[in-house]
Amino acid sequence: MNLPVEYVLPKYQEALYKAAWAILQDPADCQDAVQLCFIKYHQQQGDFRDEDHIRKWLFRTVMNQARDIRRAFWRKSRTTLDESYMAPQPAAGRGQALFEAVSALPATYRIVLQLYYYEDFSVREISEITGLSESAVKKRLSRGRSLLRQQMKGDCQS
Amino acid sequence: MTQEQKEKEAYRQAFASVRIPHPIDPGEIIRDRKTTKMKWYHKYAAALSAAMILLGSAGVAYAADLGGLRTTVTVWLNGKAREMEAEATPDGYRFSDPADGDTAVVSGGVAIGEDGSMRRATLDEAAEALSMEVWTDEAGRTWLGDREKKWDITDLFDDQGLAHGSYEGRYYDIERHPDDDGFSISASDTPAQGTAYRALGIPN
Repeated sequence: MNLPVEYVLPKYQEALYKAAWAILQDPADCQDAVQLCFIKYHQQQGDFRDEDHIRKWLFRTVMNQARDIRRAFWRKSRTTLDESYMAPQPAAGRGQALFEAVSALPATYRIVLQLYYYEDFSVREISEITGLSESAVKKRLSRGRSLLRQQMKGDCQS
Repeated sequence: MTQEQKEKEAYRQAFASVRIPHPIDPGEIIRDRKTTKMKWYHKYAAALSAAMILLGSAGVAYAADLGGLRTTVTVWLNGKAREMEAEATPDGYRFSDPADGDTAVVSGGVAIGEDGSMRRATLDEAAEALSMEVWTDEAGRTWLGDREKKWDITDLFDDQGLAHGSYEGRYYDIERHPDDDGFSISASDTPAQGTAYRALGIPN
C-alpha cells in the first residue's frame, strides 16, 4: 500500500521536525530535513505493509537526511539567512529546564529519548528506525535517562 | 499514572514548543518532484544570490580545468566574457579576476538530485547557477537573466508563484519565495514532465 503525500505530510511533519531537531537543533536545517524526507517519500514508489510501516520509514528517512545535513560541508560556515527561522521558545519553569537538559545531551541520546518519550516507539521499533541493535538502544536509553535525571536533579521524578 | 508515563508527559510538554517554522504544503512537494532535476535549494540559492551581487551582474563561467586547485574560467559580465580564476573553498567556490582583483564568492552551493539526496555542487553547476538571475526592477517588472540574455517574465507567474519558460531547448523553472522576497531557479535541457513551458521569445 501507499498513502498520498497530501495525507501523510500534514499528519507527520511536526513529529518528523521534532525528530530532526534531536539531531540538528537548528530550525532551518530541520525544515530542510523534513522537506527532503517528504520529497523522497513522494518520489519513491515503496510498497508499505501499513501506515505504521510508513511512519517508521519516515522517521528513518528524516533522521538520515538530518545526519546528511549535519555532516555536510557547508553547515559549518553558513549563516542564518532567514530571520523567520526562529529557535523554539519553551514554556518557562520545569518544561524549560527539561528542554534545556535534553538539548545539552549528546545527539546520540537525544534521538533515542525523542523516539521513546515523544513518539512512544518501543525499543525494537527504535532499533528498526535507527539501525542500532536493541541492546544498544537500551543502553542509550538508560544512559540518556540517567544523564537527564542528573541534570534535572530529580525534577522528572517528582 | 506510572513514573514512566509521568516522564513521557513531562517530555512532551517540554518539546511542545518545537514546531516547524513553515508548515510544508503538500503541493510544494508534488511540484518539487517535477522540478528537482538539479535544483538549488532556496535557502542556499539565497546565499548564491548574495554572491551574485558581488559580481555586479549575472555571469557564466565555463570551466577549463588546469588540473590544480585553481581553475581558469570564462565569466560573462554585462554581456562580455572575462577570464577569472576559480578555486574551491571549504564551503563553495571563489571566483577572482587577477587583472583588477574583483572577487565573487559562491558559498553554500548544494545540488539536490532526483532522489532528494544532497551533495556539494560542482564548479560547473556553480557556474551555471551564477549565469542565472531573477530580479525585479524599479517598475515592478520581473526579469530572468541567463548569461548575456534577459527576458521579462512578469506575466509568466501563476497564482502559486511558479513560472516556467523555455528558450532554444533550455527549460527554466522559477519559483517566487514571498518569505524572503527571493526566487529559486533551476534550468535543464529537458522539460519537467507534466509542466507546460511558455516560449520566452527573443531576449532583450
